[in-house]
Amino acid sequence: MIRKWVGWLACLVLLWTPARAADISGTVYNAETGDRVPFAAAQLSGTDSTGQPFETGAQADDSGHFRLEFLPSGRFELAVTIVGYDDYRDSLWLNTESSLDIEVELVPRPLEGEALVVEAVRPEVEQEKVVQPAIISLSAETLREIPSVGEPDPIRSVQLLPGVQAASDGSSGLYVRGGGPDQTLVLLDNVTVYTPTHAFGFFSIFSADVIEGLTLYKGAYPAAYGGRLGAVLDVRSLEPRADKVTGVVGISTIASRVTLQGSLGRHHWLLSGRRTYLDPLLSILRKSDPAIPSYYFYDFNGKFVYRHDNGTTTLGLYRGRDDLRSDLDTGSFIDINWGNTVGALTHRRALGARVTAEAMLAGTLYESLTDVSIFFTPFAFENRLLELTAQGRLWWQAGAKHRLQLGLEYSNYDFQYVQSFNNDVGVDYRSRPKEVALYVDDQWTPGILATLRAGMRLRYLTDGDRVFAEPRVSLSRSVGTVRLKLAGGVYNQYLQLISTEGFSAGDVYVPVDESADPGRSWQSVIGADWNVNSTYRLSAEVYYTRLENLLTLDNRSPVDEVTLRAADVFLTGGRGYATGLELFAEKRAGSLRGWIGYTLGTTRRTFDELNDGAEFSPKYDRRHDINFVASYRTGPWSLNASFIYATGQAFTPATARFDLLDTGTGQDSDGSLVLAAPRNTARLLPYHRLDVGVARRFRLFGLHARWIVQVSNFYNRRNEWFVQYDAESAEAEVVKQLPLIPSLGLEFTF
Amino acid sequence: MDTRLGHTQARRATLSLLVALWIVAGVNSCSTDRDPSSLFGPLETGRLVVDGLLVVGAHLPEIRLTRTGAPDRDYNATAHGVSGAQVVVRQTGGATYTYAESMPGRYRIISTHIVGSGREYTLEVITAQGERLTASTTTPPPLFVTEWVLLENDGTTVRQTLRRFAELGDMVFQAPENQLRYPQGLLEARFNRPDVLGFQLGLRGLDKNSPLVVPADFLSPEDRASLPRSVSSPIFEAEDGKARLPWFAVYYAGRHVYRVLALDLNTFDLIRSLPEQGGSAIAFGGNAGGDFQRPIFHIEGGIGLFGSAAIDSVGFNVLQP
Repeated sequence: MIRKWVGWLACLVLLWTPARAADISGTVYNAETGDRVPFAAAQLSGTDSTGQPFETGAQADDSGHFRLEFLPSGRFELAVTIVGYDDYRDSLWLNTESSLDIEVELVPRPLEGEALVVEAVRPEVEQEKVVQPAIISLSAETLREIPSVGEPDPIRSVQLLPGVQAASDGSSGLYVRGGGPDQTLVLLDNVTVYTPTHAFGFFSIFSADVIEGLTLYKGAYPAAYGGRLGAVLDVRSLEPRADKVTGVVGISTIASRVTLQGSLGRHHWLLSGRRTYLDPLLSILRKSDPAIPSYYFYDFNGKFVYRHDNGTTTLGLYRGRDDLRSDLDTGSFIDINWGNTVGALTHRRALGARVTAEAMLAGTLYESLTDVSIFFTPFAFENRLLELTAQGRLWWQAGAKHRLQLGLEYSNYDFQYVQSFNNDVGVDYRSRPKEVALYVDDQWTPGILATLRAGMRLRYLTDGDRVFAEPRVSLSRSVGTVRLKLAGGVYNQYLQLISTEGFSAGDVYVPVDESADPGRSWQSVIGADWNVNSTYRLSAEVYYTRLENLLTLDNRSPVDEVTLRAADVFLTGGRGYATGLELFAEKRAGSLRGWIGYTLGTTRRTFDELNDGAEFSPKYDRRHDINFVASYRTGPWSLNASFIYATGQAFTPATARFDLLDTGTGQDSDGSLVLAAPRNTARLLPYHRLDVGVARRFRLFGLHARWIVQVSNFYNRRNEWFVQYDAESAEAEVVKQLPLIPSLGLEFTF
Repeated sequence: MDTRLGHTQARRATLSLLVALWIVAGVNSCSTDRDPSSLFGPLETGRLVVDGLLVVGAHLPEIRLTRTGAPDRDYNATAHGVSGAQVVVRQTGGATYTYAESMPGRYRIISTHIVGSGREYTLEVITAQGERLTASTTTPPPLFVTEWVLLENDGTTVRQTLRRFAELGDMVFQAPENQLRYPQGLLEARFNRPDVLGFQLGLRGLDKNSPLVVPADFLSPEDRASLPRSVSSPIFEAEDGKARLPWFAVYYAGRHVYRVLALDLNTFDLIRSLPEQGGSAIAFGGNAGGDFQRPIFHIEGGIGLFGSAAIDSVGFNVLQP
């Protein structure tokens, strides 16, 4: 009872705040044509009447309208910016009675060279950060500068954030705050992307040239998202804005890429492609070793933005493919290809001054086709997951204090999995469940210092006739330059991933049918953000997640299992928790930028059928995790570095050897059997890696150019990947991760 | 001018030093060598290990009794044999069979008893040190393979029906129907599926010096030399009463025995949980990662197998392609 009263009291304290505030409404115009300019960023910063720094922002809608509310009195600068125009800046005095309506005229500026580099984080993301803890965003510029192997890689960059881990150097899977990779929802322009990786997880499918930025909700995410127990990675593709044809051409040791954008009247388009060119090199190597496969991947992005008087209609497309083929010998070959196709048609328009609506039709297809023959014994696996979605969203500025978001989503899934072995079809599975989700989210700002967001997501799944009610809440309160935040929510996960631990290939997504309960989590986060000034930001967060009904692959099921019934494929009814403390310091401006983060975390799981029912650490449980990212610019030079230190992953050690007759043949076995200790009771050595990069801008044939030299694993630490015990000899082999890998790149912009 | 020159030289010297340090670090690499013993968990050496598989329709089997060895030492079952133990098998509601030690760690019984189906047998072991190990098995129903057929590669058309041991004894290896040319056709066992949890397949090569038949130039000579002459499968459900032998189990020419085993609970659980058996269809198995876990033993006071199976088999000869 006392705890309940303390909770209510905390909410009241957080929400109590002076009620009167100023607001600014504006419309952005092209100074030369008089046309409205959509999507400009409006940023207000300065000092309020009490001497405290204050900063807020908003993004103009399709009609060029923006609105800044709940502003304190004081002296501020209003900046309105968008690529392709000169910045607009104006000084303003506000008092609590101010209600300004202004017109902003932006002067077009020819785009040169760096046109495709988007430097600002979107204002609506900044707004999210006001109320939402456990959120972090990376701009396109940051994503392009973090060193990686061969290609700038957005998901690899996310793995450098506190609370996020990778399974291995060769994995783009995201392990966020103790959750597995399928517990993070990955979205590209609001459309789910399943297994967003190339090259068995070594690269992500997102080319940094066509990414405007990404936002990661590490937990307690709001009602607008759903379907995953842990986190959301919201990737936004580049919005084409250039009025003449501009582009980026990049060549690296791994792949070449081209991105072009331009306009057709007031409409804009973008085309981008990337392909690896390892094939000829592998072909030469294959002459001396037939086991070396041929391999390539490609991806394509396209976007067309049709602007009309009633709003904006956007068609976005992505298609990527990986293909690996190895002809080992007569009767033995491997042919695997997999990839994603994503398409979305979105229409967005303003319905009056206070309501914006968006309708979207989208489809996402993940397919993985494996055709293998070993010594004349064929295997084939075909996995397809098609999700067709129709959704409508509404943003409603309901009065001065409430901002509502309403959404309705309908998803039609089509899961197909066919497995044949030795010319015999074992599994022929098809399931076409449907899901309807309705959500409402109200952001209530009773005054300038506090915000309460409360939401509810209702989901109905035809599979098992299930209904989920998922409440979400977050609360924030400014105390000087510090913002205190609190958030929590309930989450259910209906899709389960079957995958290998070390790398991403042949992933299979299975719906949790009526034979098992879907996973459920309760998340809570409490934290504080301190914007020391416009350059430095510090934050601290504590999180706790409780998990129930977890599923994990049952690797003891028969090999000819002919169903994908959840209860047959998985061990069910798992429980667990993840808890930790995250500290984060960021320098956001100046020639030296970057961050340092530290996570102290613990994650545990319990399954009745694993480890004799005793609690254990999953392999990605890491007690300590330190991340450091720095970027230094001086003149045309840019120097970049990232460093990770993490507690070694958990593994199961061997504890004894013994011998049994082979039951199948009745003979002595060739080696001895290895007895495992209790699950994951040992640790690999601590993981640490330094990546560095140097880039220099210059001009070549009148074009803006940049060369990049990057070295992954700079001091060549051979981190441990996993331990393998040999049954035939008394040896334990430690399989190491990647060595030092240098890479070169050259890119031109025009 | 001199100062600027000095700064330039200093920058170059610093850069050279950094590059030199990097090269040294890179060439030597950052060592992650560790004490090999740290890769092993708390030792469980000296635990009792029992091994006995009762076969329906056969005499009581030999029981092997050993102890576990250190995980980082080569293991020799004979050297770890447990001598001087009392080994008894009891049939519930029936007779008691007392075993005698034939050699260190191996216990045999001279008895005319034939293991029946659907019966419960209990093992009790008491060592000279007073340790007690017990386990029970309920034997499965009998297994009778009605047809051993070689199918065309379409998987449906029967090319030939193999002759059985019951018909020809060891002459099956010479029977024209039992000559299989590598890798033509698909060998399938067809049976009325008994009510058991699962099956295992075993292929045993009888000729020790027969030549390789697999085209495997992509393997190293060492790997080719280590290809086994006998292999066992993971667990099968065989819901349709069919068990097809994959050609990747056959590496050598010559005489082979193909066995189908219907398993009791203990054997089923042990095989499906042994990491060495390779895991399930969608898991990789092996002694690494999440697949490396403790098997299910169903034994009190030790580990190992005291289980039962019903077995049928066929013999055939593999000819060179």
